[in-house]
Amino acid sequence: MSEMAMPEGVIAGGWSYVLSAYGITAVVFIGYAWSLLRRRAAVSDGEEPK
Amino acid sequence: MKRFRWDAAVGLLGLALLLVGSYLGLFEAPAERHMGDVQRIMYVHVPTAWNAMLVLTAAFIFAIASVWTGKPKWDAVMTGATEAGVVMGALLIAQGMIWARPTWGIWWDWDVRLTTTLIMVILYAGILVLRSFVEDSDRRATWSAVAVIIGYVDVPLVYFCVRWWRSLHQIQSTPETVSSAMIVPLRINSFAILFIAIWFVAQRARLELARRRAEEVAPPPRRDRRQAEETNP
Repeated sequence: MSEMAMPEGVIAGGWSYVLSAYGITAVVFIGYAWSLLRRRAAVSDGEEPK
Repeated sequence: MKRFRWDAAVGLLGLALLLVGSYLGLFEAPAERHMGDVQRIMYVHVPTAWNAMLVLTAAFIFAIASVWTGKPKWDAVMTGATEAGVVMGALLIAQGMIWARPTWGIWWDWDVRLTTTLIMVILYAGILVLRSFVEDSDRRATWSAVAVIIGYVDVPLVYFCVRWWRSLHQIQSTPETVSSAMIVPLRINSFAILFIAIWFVAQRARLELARRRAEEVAPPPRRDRRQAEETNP
Protein backbone atom coordinates (compact mmCIF):
# COMPACT_ATOMS: atom_id res chain seq x y z
CA MET A 1 0.00 0.00 0.00
CA SER A 2 1.50 3.39 -0.97
CA GLU A 3 1.85 6.11 1.69
CA MET A 4 -1.14 8.13 0.39
CA ALA A 5 -3.45 5.20 -0.29
CA MET A 6 -6.71 5.07 1.66
CA PRO A 7 -7.40 1.92 3.67
CA GLU A 8 -9.99 -0.42 2.21
CA GLY A 9 -13.25 -1.32 3.92
CA VAL A 10 -16.35 0.34 5.29
CA ILE A 11 -17.48 0.77 8.90
CA ALA A 12 -20.29 -1.75 9.24
CA GLY A 13 -23.53 -0.88 10.99
CA GLY A 14 -23.34 2.28 13.02
CA TRP A 15 -27.06 3.11 12.98
CA SER A 16 -27.12 3.12 16.79
CA TYR A 17 -24.56 5.97 16.75
CA VAL A 18 -26.49 7.83 14.05
CA LEU A 19 -29.76 7.57 15.98
CA SER A 20 -28.01 8.60 19.20
CA ALA A 21 -26.62 11.75 17.53
CA TYR A 22 -30.02 12.72 16.07
CA GLY A 23 -31.74 11.82 19.35
CA ILE A 24 -29.44 13.97 21.48
CA THR A 25 -29.93 16.84 19.01
CA ALA A 26 -33.71 16.59 19.41
CA VAL A 27 -33.49 16.31 23.21
CA VAL A 28 -31.20 19.37 23.51
CA PHE A 29 -33.27 21.54 21.14
CA ILE A 30 -36.60 20.60 22.72
CA GLY A 31 -35.18 20.84 26.25
CA TYR A 32 -33.65 24.26 25.70
CA ALA A 33 -36.79 25.58 23.97
CA TRP A 34 -38.90 24.33 26.89
CA SER A 35 -36.50 25.94 29.39
CA LEU A 36 -36.69 29.30 27.58
CA LEU A 37 -40.50 29.28 27.50
CA ARG A 38 -40.73 28.23 31.16
CA ARG A 39 -38.25 30.88 32.34
CA ARG A 40 -40.02 33.59 30.35
CA ALA A 41 -43.38 32.60 31.81
CA ALA A 42 -41.89 32.68 35.32
CA VAL A 43 -40.38 36.16 34.89
CA SER A 44 -43.13 37.92 33.00
CA ASP A 45 -45.90 36.30 35.11
CA GLY A 46 -48.36 36.51 32.28
CA GLU A 47 -47.24 39.93 31.06
CA GLU A 48 -45.96 39.91 27.46
CA PRO A 49 -42.47 41.44 27.31
CA LYS A 50 -42.06 43.88 24.44
CA MET B 1 -56.42 39.23 17.72
CA LYS B 2 -53.04 37.67 18.51
CA ARG B 3 -50.02 39.67 17.34
CA PHE B 4 -47.91 38.08 14.57
CA ARG B 5 -44.61 36.89 16.03
CA TRP B 6 -41.82 36.85 13.44
CA ASP B 7 -39.55 34.78 15.71
CA ALA B 8 -42.23 32.09 16.13
CA ALA B 9 -42.57 31.87 12.33
CA VAL B 10 -38.78 31.62 11.93
CA GLY B 11 -38.58 28.92 14.64
CA LEU B 12 -41.37 26.86 13.08
CA LEU B 13 -39.74 27.18 9.65
CA GLY B 14 -36.49 25.97 11.20
CA LEU B 15 -38.23 22.98 12.78
CA ALA B 16 -39.95 22.04 9.50
CA LEU B 17 -36.67 22.32 7.56
CA LEU B 18 -34.86 20.24 10.20
CA LEU B 19 -37.40 17.44 9.78
CA VAL B 20 -37.03 17.54 5.97
CA GLY B 21 -33.22 17.81 6.03
CA SER B 22 -32.88 15.03 8.60
CA TYR B 23 -35.18 12.74 6.60
CA LEU B 24 -33.07 13.34 3.46
CA GLY B 25 -29.85 12.85 5.42
CA LEU B 26 -31.00 9.67 7.11
CA PHE B 27 -32.88 7.94 4.28
CA GLU B 28 -32.14 9.53 0.90
CA ALA B 29 -28.47 10.56 0.91
CA PRO B 30 -25.97 7.83 -0.02
CA ALA B 31 -23.77 6.15 2.59
CA GLU B 32 -20.19 7.43 2.59
CA ARG B 33 -17.54 5.23 0.93
CA HIS B 34 -15.45 4.53 4.06
CA MET B 35 -17.60 5.57 7.03
CA GLY B 36 -20.80 3.98 5.75
CA ASP B 37 -24.00 5.05 7.52
CA VAL B 38 -22.13 6.60 10.47
CA GLN B 39 -21.33 9.57 8.23
CA ARG B 40 -25.03 10.57 8.37
CA ILE B 41 -24.18 12.22 11.70
CA MET B 42 -22.59 14.94 9.52
CA TYR B 43 -26.04 16.34 8.62
CA VAL B 44 -26.60 17.49 12.20
CA HIS B 45 -23.00 17.81 13.44
CA VAL B 46 -21.65 20.19 10.78
CA PRO B 47 -24.70 22.55 10.78
CA THR B 48 -24.53 22.65 14.59
CA ALA B 49 -20.82 23.56 14.40
CA TRP B 50 -21.34 26.31 11.81
CA ASN B 51 -24.26 27.83 13.69
CA ALA B 52 -22.60 27.61 17.12
CA MET B 53 -19.71 29.68 15.75
CA LEU B 54 -22.12 31.98 13.91
CA VAL B 55 -24.17 32.82 17.03
CA LEU B 56 -20.98 33.38 19.04
CA THR B 57 -19.79 35.73 16.28
CA ALA B 58 -23.15 37.53 16.61
CA ALA B 59 -22.59 37.68 20.39
CA PHE B 60 -19.20 39.31 19.74
CA ILE B 61 -20.83 41.95 17.48
CA PHE B 62 -23.67 42.55 19.99
CA ALA B 63 -21.08 42.87 22.78
CA ILE B 64 -19.28 45.64 20.86
CA ALA B 65 -22.65 47.36 20.28
CA SER B 66 -23.47 46.99 24.00
CA VAL B 67 -20.20 48.56 25.13
CA TRP B 68 -20.46 51.27 22.46
CA THR B 69 -24.07 52.35 23.08
CA GLY B 70 -24.83 51.08 26.61
CA LYS B 71 -28.35 50.17 25.42
CA PRO B 72 -30.03 47.23 27.27
CA LYS B 73 -31.29 45.70 24.02
CA TRP B 74 -27.72 44.93 22.87
CA ASP B 75 -26.92 43.37 26.24
CA ALA B 76 -30.07 41.25 25.94
CA VAL B 77 -29.31 39.92 22.45
CA MET B 78 -25.66 39.38 23.41
CA THR B 79 -26.81 37.25 26.36
CA GLY B 80 -29.20 35.37 24.07
CA ALA B 81 -26.51 34.66 21.50
CA THR B 82 -23.98 33.64 24.17
CA GLU B 83 -26.36 31.19 25.84
CA ALA B 84 -27.50 29.74 22.50
CA GLY B 85 -23.80 29.39 21.55
CA VAL B 86 -23.05 27.49 24.76
CA VAL B 87 -26.01 25.14 24.28
CA MET B 88 -25.10 24.47 20.65
CA GLY B 89 -21.40 24.13 21.49
CA ALA B 90 -22.15 21.53 24.16
CA LEU B 91 -24.41 19.69 21.71
CA LEU B 92 -21.65 19.87 19.08
CA ILE B 93 -19.19 18.18 21.46
CA ALA B 94 -21.73 15.45 22.31
CA GLN B 95 -22.46 14.77 18.61
CA GLY B 96 -18.71 14.74 17.86
CA MET B 97 -18.03 12.21 20.62
CA ILE B 98 -20.77 9.94 19.26
CA TRP B 99 -19.22 10.20 15.78
CA ALA B 100 -15.66 9.72 17.08
CA ARG B 101 -16.35 6.38 18.79
CA PRO B 102 -17.05 4.29 15.65
CA THR B 103 -14.63 6.19 13.36
CA TRP B 104 -11.62 6.94 15.59
CA GLY B 105 -12.24 4.16 18.12
CA ILE B 106 -12.32 6.63 21.03
CA TRP B 107 -14.91 8.93 22.58
CA TRP B 108 -12.49 11.79 23.19
CA ASP B 109 -8.98 12.92 22.31
CA TRP B 110 -7.09 16.04 23.42
CA ASP B 111 -6.81 16.98 19.78
CA VAL B 112 -6.51 20.68 18.94
CA ARG B 113 -10.02 20.98 17.40
CA LEU B 114 -11.75 19.18 20.26
CA THR B 115 -9.75 21.03 22.91
CA THR B 116 -10.34 24.52 21.49
CA THR B 117 -14.07 23.70 21.16
CA LEU B 118 -14.23 22.55 24.79
CA ILE B 119 -12.40 25.72 25.89
CA MET B 120 -14.90 27.80 23.88
CA VAL B 121 -17.90 26.19 25.61
CA ILE B 122 -16.39 26.39 29.12
CA LEU B 123 -15.31 30.00 28.57
CA TYR B 124 -18.72 31.25 27.44
CA ALA B 125 -20.54 29.16 30.06
CA GLY B 126 -18.25 30.78 32.64
CA ILE B 127 -19.25 34.23 31.39
CA LEU B 128 -22.93 33.34 31.86
CA VAL B 129 -22.26 32.04 35.40
CA LEU B 130 -20.23 35.10 36.39
CA ARG B 131 -22.91 37.34 34.91
CA SER B 132 -25.49 35.87 37.28
CA PHE B 133 -23.43 37.06 40.29
CA VAL B 134 -23.47 40.76 39.30
CA GLU B 135 -26.53 42.55 40.68
CA ASP B 136 -26.10 45.97 39.05
CA SER B 137 -27.52 45.66 35.53
CA ASP B 138 -25.24 48.28 33.92
CA ARG B 139 -22.08 46.78 35.41
CA ARG B 140 -23.28 43.31 34.47
CA ALA B 141 -23.78 44.43 30.86
CA THR B 142 -20.34 46.07 30.61
CA TRP B 143 -18.35 43.27 32.27
CA SER B 144 -20.01 40.48 30.36
CA ALA B 145 -19.67 42.35 27.03
CA VAL B 146 -15.92 42.83 27.63
CA ALA B 147 -15.59 39.14 28.58
CA VAL B 148 -17.48 38.07 25.43
CA ILE B 149 -15.19 40.26 23.27
CA ILE B 150 -12.03 38.81 24.88
CA GLY B 151 -13.39 35.25 24.77
CA TYR B 152 -14.06 35.53 21.04
CA VAL B 153 -10.32 35.01 20.43
CA ASP B 154 -11.00 31.26 20.71
CA VAL B 155 -13.75 31.10 18.05
CA PRO B 156 -11.56 31.65 14.93
CA LEU B 157 -9.07 29.26 16.54
CA VAL B 158 -11.74 26.55 16.63
CA TYR B 159 -12.43 27.06 12.91
CA PHE B 160 -8.88 27.40 11.58
CA CYS B 161 -6.93 25.12 13.95
CA VAL B 162 -7.37 22.08 11.67
CA ARG B 163 -5.65 24.02 8.87
CA TRP B 164 -2.90 25.48 11.04
CA TRP B 165 -1.93 22.40 13.06
CA ARG B 166 -1.94 18.63 12.61
CA SER B 167 -5.28 17.34 13.87
CA LEU B 168 -7.10 14.05 14.19
CA HIS B 169 -10.22 15.96 13.14
CA GLN B 170 -10.66 16.26 9.39
CA ILE B 171 -10.23 19.57 7.57
CA GLN B 172 -13.40 21.42 6.41
CA SER B 173 -15.18 19.83 3.46
CA THR B 174 -16.25 21.94 0.47
CA PRO B 175 -18.95 21.34 -2.19
CA GLU B 176 -16.08 20.15 -4.44
CA THR B 177 -15.10 17.40 -1.99
CA VAL B 178 -18.63 16.22 -1.09
CA SER B 179 -21.12 14.33 -3.28
CA SER B 180 -23.93 16.57 -4.57
CA ALA B 181 -26.48 14.17 -3.00
CA MET B 182 -24.98 15.02 0.39
CA ILE B 183 -24.97 18.78 -0.12
CA VAL B 184 -28.79 19.21 -0.21
CA PRO B 185 -29.56 17.77 3.28
CA LEU B 186 -26.46 19.50 4.66
CA ARG B 187 -27.63 22.89 3.37
CA ILE B 188 -31.26 22.36 4.46
CA ASN B 189 -30.16 21.45 8.00
CA SER B 190 -27.74 24.38 8.08
CA PHE B 191 -30.58 26.83 7.42
CA ALA B 192 -32.88 24.86 9.74
CA ILE B 193 -30.50 25.12 12.68
CA LEU B 194 -29.78 28.76 11.82
CA PHE B 195 -33.52 29.58 12.05
CA ILE B 196 -33.86 27.60 15.30
CA ALA B 197 -30.84 29.45 16.69
CA ILE B 198 -32.45 32.80 15.76
CA TRP B 199 -35.55 31.71 17.70
CA PHE B 200 -33.39 30.75 20.71
CA VAL B 201 -31.58 34.11 20.66
CA ALA B 202 -34.84 36.09 20.30
CA GLN B 203 -36.52 34.19 23.17
CA ARG B 204 -33.50 34.53 25.47
CA ALA B 205 -33.19 38.25 24.63
CA ARG B 206 -36.87 38.81 25.50
CA LEU B 207 -36.32 36.93 28.76
CA GLU B 208 -33.31 39.11 29.59
CA LEU B 209 -35.26 42.32 28.89
CA ALA B 210 -38.16 41.07 31.03
CA ARG B 211 -35.74 40.24 33.88
CA ARG B 212 -34.17 43.68 33.65
CA ARG B 213 -37.59 45.34 33.81
CA ALA B 214 -38.53 43.17 36.78
CA GLU B 215 -35.30 44.25 38.54
CA GLU B 216 -36.08 47.92 37.90
CA VAL B 217 -39.57 47.73 39.43
CA ALA B 218 -38.64 45.36 42.27
CA PRO B 219 -38.18 46.82 45.80
CA PRO B 220 -34.53 47.31 46.88
CA PRO B 221 -32.86 44.52 48.92
CA ARG B 222 -33.71 44.45 52.68
CA ARG B 223 -30.35 45.95 53.74
CA ASP B 224 -30.82 48.97 51.44
CA ARG B 225 -34.40 49.37 52.63
CA ARG B 226 -33.26 49.51 56.29
CA GLN B 227 -30.62 52.11 55.39
CA ALA B 228 -33.27 54.17 53.59
CA GLU B 229 -35.59 53.98 56.63
CA GLU B 230 -32.77 55.10 58.93
CA THR B 231 -32.01 58.07 56.66
CA ASN B 232 -35.70 59.05 56.15
CA PRO B 233 -37.68 57.81 59.19
